[in-house]
Amino acid sequence: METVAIDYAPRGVKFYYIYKALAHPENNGYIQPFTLEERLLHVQEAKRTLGSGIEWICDNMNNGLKATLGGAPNSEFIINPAGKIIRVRGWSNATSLRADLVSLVGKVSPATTVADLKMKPVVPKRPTATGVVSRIQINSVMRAVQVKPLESDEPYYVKLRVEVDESFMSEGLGMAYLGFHLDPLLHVHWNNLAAPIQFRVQCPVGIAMGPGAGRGPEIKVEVDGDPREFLVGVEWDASILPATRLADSPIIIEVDYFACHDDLGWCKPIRQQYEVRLLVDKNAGSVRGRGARGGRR
Amino acid sequence: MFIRHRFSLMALSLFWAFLLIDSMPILAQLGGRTGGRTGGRTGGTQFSQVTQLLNTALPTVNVFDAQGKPLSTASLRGCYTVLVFGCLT
Repeated sequence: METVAIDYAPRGVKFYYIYKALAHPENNGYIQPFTLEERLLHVQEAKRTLGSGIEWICDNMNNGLKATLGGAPNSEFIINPAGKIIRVRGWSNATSLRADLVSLVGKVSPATTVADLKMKPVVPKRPTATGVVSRIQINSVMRAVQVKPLESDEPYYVKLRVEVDESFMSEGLGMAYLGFHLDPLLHVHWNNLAAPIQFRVQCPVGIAMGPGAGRGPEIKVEVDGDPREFLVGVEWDASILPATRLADSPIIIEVDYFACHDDLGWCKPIRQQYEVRLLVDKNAGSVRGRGARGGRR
Repeated sequence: MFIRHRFSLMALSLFWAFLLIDSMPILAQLGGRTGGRTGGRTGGTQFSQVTQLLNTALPTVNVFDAQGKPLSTASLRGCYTVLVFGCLT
């Protein structure tokens, strides 16, 4: 799209990327932001790594724009001056977009090519020492469920992702994945000289999760940036807690961990809590290649 | 179902408690494959929903610019505008 924008912005066409929730968390180590401020950090990172001159719009945290425009991850729209959607594409295609603009605005010759841009790929910054802790291997289709962080004085340096397996989805009894992932854009790492991460689970009546507490492994390397992952059993009895009440009956997960920020020179214990609802989160994206260091590259 | 599975859940809990306490590498070996799959592909449905938007008015949604300032999609009228969804991954 960059080449099309260079040719058609001088003709009065405006171009925007719309930043939305991550389609594939863990790719290049990035994880789903919890707040608007964190989503804006992702926008800055996208601008930095793509080296694009195109402006960005950041979707709201309810994913309102994504929802109203069909929910596809890489869709493309042309809006006419009256505000009407006159071209739609489920997957962005620069060649087709250029053809559309030729018919709407006129031909630009010679057209800018990708080679003309001389864009240099920027490698995402990698967290400290990844590949230290073995990743959990999961042989099941997993679905992310809704996770909401409760108020905290500290940023969520570590972010919880919860997924449930096919068995739970079909039978109400199965496994849940609890993944505590360091946010690479907040530049912290684990302090393995301190106590490992610990979590405790508090379930509403009708839901059971076991074990109800867990503790991360002791790591011999002083610092690392790998996620701390757990698999727990989970059961939901719909006769006790009807599906209509799931939204009002969150599981509370409390976590304690030590985090260090080298640039700011601090290392401190942090306690944070999450509400987890056993409802599919359609905006959580899907993890590809879990188990590869730092996610898929 | 809760009562029916209570025993199985207890057994499951003990099993996983043992694994979690004992060592993470054991967990990592379970399944023996390289990475799980998450989510199903719903692209067809999404593309269909996108196509249905053709010749409709751009909905007014309150979003933000890259600096975090509020922005209404209504302000995008007045010229040809290209919108492309994307993210970091």
